[in-house]
Amino acid sequence: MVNNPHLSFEGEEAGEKVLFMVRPHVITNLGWVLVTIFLLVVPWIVLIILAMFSIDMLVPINTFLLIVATWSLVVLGGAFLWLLHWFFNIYILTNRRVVDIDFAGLFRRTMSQAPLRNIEDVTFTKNGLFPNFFDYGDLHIQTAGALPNFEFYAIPDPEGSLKEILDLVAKVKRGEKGYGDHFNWPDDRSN
Amino acid sequence: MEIISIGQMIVRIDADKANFGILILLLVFLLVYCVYSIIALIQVRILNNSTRTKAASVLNNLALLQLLVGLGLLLIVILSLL
Repeated sequence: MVNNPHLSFEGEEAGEKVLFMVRPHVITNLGWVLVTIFLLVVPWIVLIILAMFSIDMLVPINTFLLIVATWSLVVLGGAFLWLLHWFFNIYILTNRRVVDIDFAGLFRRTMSQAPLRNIEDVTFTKNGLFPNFFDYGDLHIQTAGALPNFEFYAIPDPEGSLKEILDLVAKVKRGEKGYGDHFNWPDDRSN
Repeated sequence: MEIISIGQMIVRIDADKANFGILILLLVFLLVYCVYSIIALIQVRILNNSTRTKAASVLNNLALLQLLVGLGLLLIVILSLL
């Protein structure tokens, strides 16, 4: 959880403050990191097998090395996309709303949001060995009316996030200054 | 009697032609990859502007490095073909 009041995002309204920003837990990257390492090692395993059984490669060693370099570049390019996927899948909580930014590919990005006053119910689930061991899980936010429900997957400390959101919703419902649709942030003298 | 490899016996491909064919394939592939890298670099810059965070410059540099390595390999392949 990144707790940074100076953080900003596209579509931020005047007087809106980012309270925290959450990405999926770092450990969720383990899968693609292992796959990447395996795919990087594969050509060298092939080379060793070819050498062990004295099988001719048909192409000179220079060309083989070029193939390996290109293969590695493609694998690392794929890993970079996975990194972007993790880095730009962000859940933002501001003093007014919950924002979910989903990065589904280089040309596909969706952003959905719901005002805090529309949040009706928040639940979290921690399923499995890894989520319990590394303390991450899914957060489900149910909103009123036709607004979309939110599913924040594999976020660290879902229980803490749940408490923060419920606390904020309570503040909005109490009409505390600086929360919900109020434009004045308590310690912001410019507004 | 000319000694030919198992691979050549199976697929009956001339080694020089195979080498040339693979290099051409690599050339086309790397050209496409470089175009993809340029698009990725632009997209990363746009995404970084939409969510301003500290790690943004690292991602920019990674995208740039990806493009430069792709261009470097492309150059090597072109030189190998000449």
